[in-house]
Amino acid sequence: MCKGYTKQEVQQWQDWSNKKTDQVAKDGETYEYELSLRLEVDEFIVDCREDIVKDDDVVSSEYEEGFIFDNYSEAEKKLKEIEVRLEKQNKKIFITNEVKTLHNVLGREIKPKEEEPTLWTVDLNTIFKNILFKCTEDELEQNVQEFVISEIDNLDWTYEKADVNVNKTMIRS
Amino acid sequence: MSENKKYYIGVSILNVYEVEAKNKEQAEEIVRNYSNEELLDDSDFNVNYIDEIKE
Repeated sequence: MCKGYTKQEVQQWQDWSNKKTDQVAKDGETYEYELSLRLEVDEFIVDCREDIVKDDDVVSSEYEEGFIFDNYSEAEKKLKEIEVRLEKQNKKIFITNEVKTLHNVLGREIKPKEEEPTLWTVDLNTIFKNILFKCTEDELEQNVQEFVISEIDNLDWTYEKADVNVNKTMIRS
Repeated sequence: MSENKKYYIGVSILNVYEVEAKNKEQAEEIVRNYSNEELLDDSDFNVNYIDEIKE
C-alpha cells in the first residue's frame, strides 16, 4: 500500500516543485526518462526523472514524480504502471530496479509483505419469511426447529457491505 | 387430538462473530466454515410471526 507523506516529505516536494522549471528540449535535444526503484531503510522509493539529452550527454534533468511504498510488490506495480504510460507516449525509457538487482545478486527471494491478522466482526442476519407448515399447534415449535437446522446446512450466503468491516445479511423469502 | 392447520411463519437469526483474520475475505471464509452449532450458538433466534391460514 502506498503510504501517506509526512509533513517534512511534503515540504521537500513543495520546495522541489517550486524550483521545477518545466524544462523544454531545444533543437537537437531529446527527452529520456529514468525510472528507478530503490530501497531506503524500510521504504521502497519509485522515482521518475526526465532528462534532456544532446549527443548522448544529459543537458538537464528534472524529477517528474516520486512515490514511497512500504512493500516491494506495490512499488514494482507502480514502476510498471509508469513504464507502460511512458511507452504509450513513445518515450525513451531507462529502468533501474536496484532492489531486484540486489536480491538477484544475493540470491534472496523477494517476498511480499504479509498482512498482519486483525480483528473483524461478521454479522449474521438471517430471515426466513412465510415458511409454510401443515401441522397441529403442538407440533409447530418442533417443526420450526427442524426446518431452521435443515436450512442452516444450505444457507444462501448473499451479503451486503455495511461499513469498514463485513456485514453479512442473508435473506430467504 | 387437535387437527392439522396451515401456518405461515417468519423466523430471524441474528449473531455477531469476532474473528481474527488478515482481511475481510478471510474473515468471511472463517465464518462460512463454522459448524451449525457454532453458527447458532448464542444466536438471537426469533419467531417473528405465526399466521394461521384460514381455508
